[in-house]
Amino acid sequence: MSVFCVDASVVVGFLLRSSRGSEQCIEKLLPEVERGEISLIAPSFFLQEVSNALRFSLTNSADAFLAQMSFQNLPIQMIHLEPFQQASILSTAYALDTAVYDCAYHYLAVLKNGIFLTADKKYYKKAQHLGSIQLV
Amino acid sequence: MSKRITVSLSDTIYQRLLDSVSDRQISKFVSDSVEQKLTGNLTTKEAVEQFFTLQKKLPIVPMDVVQSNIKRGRM
Repeated sequence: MSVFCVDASVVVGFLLRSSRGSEQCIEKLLPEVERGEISLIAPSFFLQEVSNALRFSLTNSADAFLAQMSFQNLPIQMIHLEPFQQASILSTAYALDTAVYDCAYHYLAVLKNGIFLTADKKYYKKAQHLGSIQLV
Repeated sequence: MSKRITVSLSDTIYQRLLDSVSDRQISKFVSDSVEQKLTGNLTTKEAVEQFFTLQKKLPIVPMDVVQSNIKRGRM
């Protein structure tokens, strides 16, 4: 079964129709998860990242609460990264001169033999040579 | 923060509600029930449909704003 690690930018980008790429990605993947053909994963801090993006992107708090509740029901498995795994993530973040958060998503995708799906062009440009990453 | 709403229930459901909780607990009971319906016990299909439906009701926010807001939480 194919595994995809989804970045917060992809999910929020779908919800807030921020990019056609994010919309097409989620429109394609969620039905595939529903049919049991693929699985979606994310690091455990994913929930906070999505919530924070909603918090600052939506002025109506009721919209944000609804979005968060709906998001929490999605079939995305949150995976906790252990402290010993942090060294590798930190090392990559220094090497790429990027945030630890992005590298954690990417690390998780590699760990699970999956693909990291991101809408972040800057990170993609810096990390595409590492493989296991796709810009949506 | 909370909102006060008026809802209509059938006589049967209303009677069952009264039989289940005291007058003072009705508001909390209804609130909990609505929350459970919105957040819990959904099949994957229902959760995905709910997510897709919600998208059409939310405002459009450009990707650069979304990404900036994601990073804003990281600082």
